Amino acid sequence: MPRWSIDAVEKTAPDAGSLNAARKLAVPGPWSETGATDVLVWGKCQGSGKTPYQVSVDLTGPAYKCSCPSRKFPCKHATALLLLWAGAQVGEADEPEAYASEWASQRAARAAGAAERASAPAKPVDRAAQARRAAERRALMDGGVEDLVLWLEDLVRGGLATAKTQPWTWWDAAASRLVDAQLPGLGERVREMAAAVNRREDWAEHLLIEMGRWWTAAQAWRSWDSLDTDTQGDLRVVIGWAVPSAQVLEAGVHADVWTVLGAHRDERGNLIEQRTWLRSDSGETALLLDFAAGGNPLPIARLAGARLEASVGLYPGHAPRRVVLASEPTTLPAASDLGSATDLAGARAALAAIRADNPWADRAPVVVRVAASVPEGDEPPFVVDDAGHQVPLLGEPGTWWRLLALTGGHPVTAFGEIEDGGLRVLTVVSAEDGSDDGELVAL
Amino acid sequence: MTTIEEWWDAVAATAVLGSARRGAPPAPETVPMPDRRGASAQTALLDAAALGGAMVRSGRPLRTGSAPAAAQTDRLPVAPAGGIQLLELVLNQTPGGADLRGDLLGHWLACANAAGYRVPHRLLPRLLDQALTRPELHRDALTAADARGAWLVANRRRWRPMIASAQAARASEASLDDAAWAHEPTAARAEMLTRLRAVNPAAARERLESVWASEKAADRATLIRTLRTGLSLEDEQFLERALDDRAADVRLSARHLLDALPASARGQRLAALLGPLISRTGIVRKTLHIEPPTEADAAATRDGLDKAPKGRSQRGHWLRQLAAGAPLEVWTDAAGRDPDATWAMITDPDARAGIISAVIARRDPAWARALVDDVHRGELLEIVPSADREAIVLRQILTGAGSGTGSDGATISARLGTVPGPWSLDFSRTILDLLSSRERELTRSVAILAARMPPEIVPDLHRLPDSLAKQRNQLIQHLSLVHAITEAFQ
Repeated sequence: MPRWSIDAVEKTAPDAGSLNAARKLAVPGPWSETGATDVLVWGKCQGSGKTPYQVSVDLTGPAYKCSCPSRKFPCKHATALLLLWAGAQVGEADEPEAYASEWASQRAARAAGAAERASAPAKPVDRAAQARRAAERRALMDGGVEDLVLWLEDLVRGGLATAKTQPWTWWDAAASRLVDAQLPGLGERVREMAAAVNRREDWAEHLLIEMGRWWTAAQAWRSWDSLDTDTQGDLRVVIGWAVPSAQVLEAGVHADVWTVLGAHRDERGNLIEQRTWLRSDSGETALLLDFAAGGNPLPIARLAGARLEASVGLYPGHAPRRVVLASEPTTLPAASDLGSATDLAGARAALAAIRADNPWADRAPVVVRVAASVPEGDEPPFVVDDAGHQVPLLGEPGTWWRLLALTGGHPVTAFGEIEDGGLRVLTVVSAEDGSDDGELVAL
Repeated sequence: MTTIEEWWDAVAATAVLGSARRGAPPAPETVPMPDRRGASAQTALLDAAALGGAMVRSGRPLRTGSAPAAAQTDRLPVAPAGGIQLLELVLNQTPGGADLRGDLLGHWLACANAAGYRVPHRLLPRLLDQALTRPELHRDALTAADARGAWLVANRRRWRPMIASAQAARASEASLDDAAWAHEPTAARAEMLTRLRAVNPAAARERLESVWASEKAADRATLIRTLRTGLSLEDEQFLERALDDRAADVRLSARHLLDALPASARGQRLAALLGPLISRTGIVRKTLHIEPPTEADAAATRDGLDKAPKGRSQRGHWLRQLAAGAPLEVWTDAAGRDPDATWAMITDPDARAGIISAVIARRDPAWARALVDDVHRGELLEIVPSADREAIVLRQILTGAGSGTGSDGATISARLGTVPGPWSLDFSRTILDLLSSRERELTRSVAILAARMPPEIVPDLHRLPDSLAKQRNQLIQHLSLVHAITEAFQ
């Protein structure tokens, strides 16, 4: 396995504080008996206690093990060890230390056990109780949807100009009613609108379009029973009615080999959403979603280009489908390209195609051939394709400049998310010499 | 027949006003509005928002335009993998923290530039961010950043100041543009003149002479000081004329500049005044007796024997002026000894003060060595040949000589600062031994030690006591990294 770059290691840290702590530890001083094979890195780190912590990292997962009591995952010791390793300060060894190899074999055994359990019959469920709870919830939601319909009708009757003058509390009250009616997805969108109405120049059109989507959701809800399963799935996402992952896995799993195209972390208040886009060898693009709230760690970001042999459960919904892993995947040799690319018109067409099935979709995963550029006068950068079409570049300045440094304004094959506002580039095929057979670099 | 765009604009206009004031506009046939019987105006408007919004979002044409120029192809090959790993280490987790990062970064850039390699593209943003706050690195950073770096810097306002400072450094080699120069503010013109003096002193002086007559007194005083750079006897005529300037400041500056030119006519005139005042006295003639001047005529006043500052003796002031401007040979000739021995024979404080300023102005290494143990002035140590500095500083630290304040820590670290690196192994070892029992002084000197000790000192560092573990590890890591960087580019 090639050494990771320091960037790649830093992306595995659960948060900035943990990364800072790891950087301080990533010096030879506290470490002893470090070593690495193709798949394992290990070492002992002297902490404040008498016995040094035993740290092991399995690079294929990656997976981490440390004898320290930290609840961060990976802990600072594991991240520091990887930083040392990425900085070529850990020597190669033929045989792992006993604690590292034991852990690795335990993991393999657990993975085998999990696969067995997954194939074992599920425990019996009280179907009647389940149905009763669902009916109660449906009734509550019915009320919330009718409330939303009235609110929307009042809004267009009085005119959007009056909505612009409403205080934040007015939006918040409407949002809270939706949350109380078990429609948290809609509630969040209404709450976000309070800021957008004040911030955006095109607030009126933005609000009107968004109201159209809420209206569509309300109308769809009214005819729930006549909707197909996938549309019901899409609607559940927009209103925030989660499908439990156990239920998804119960409905059956699907084995395939997946390539990680890219990942993005979206922070909203104290909730972090991590989107990992996968493409199966059979050609389907799927979305792995992880959430973390209140400072809890997210599962580690998978590295762009990683190839995973995995069984997944498919959530109901139209493409791109959300998936859940049935077990820890096996890692195969990594990929170094993203496949064939389209242009920006093609990317927009892909988004339109997704919306033809799911009118609430916010984005489409696309592989595009674009060049990133900065306009005169320090305006935010944009991407442009060979046809001369351009869209703004979404994301943070740090990401923009990494992309601009990697590409120098030359066209590259990139994976990203196209949205109404522009393109968020997550992964590029980059080579120092500017050629096309480079490696996948996550931004 | 309305188009979809026109219809959508009408829908939006209605929505802003409210359906209570205006009905929903009829949709074109191409929009599949749901068939609702007796739908209210607000329902129709919301249906239109849903359908029209979906069409607008997916159908809005993409903006077109041409892309600004992309980056040129880099000239240099990318640094070898080992070098890149070390740069990542320096940029992300410098051992010893941010204090030593500038040093390491400068070392990496210098090594890469000397070997003709560039920084890999992905590390450019971090490199530029960190070099930005260290102006001394701008030029080297831009060289190692190559064409891709130049393109990034030109495109980001935050990094753009680096171009200006790198260009200023390069501009020193270029000559000044006549027309532009005349219109710059005085401070800027002085800066440009100074740069030109460094490469072509005659051209700079001629430029100064060409505007001299029309400058105001304050500007003349500022501009004449630029002659300090590249000063030589060729400047004598100009300075001699400036001794008659209307402005006292200009006359003073001209005298100070001539103090550094003892071979000048003024130097000879002062020598003629000073010589007769010196005589050898004492039974074994171990002292030079100096009789301060008793009078100064108009010519002597012009040469610097002016009115003494308040509170100082008039005759003492005159002596000091003479000593500061006359050739130092006047003293060695009178003593018949070398500068070392001659200095020991001079006791008069005004004569001594004048000599010290003459030695500093003329950067005379032999005299500087004679004075350095006796007079604690950083400038003197800088004049001494660097090969001698280690021994002198060591002697000063051990004996507390030259300062009169004893060998306290503050002076140790200040003195170490005057010895340029790389230090010899012996010197480094002795200093380390001295500092190993002085935790505070060692801490204060870590940056200097790290930057100037040779990597071969590392085995000795392991002997530092555990109470200094933090400083010890800092130094070991830093020096190992310096060594590794040097090796990576060989």
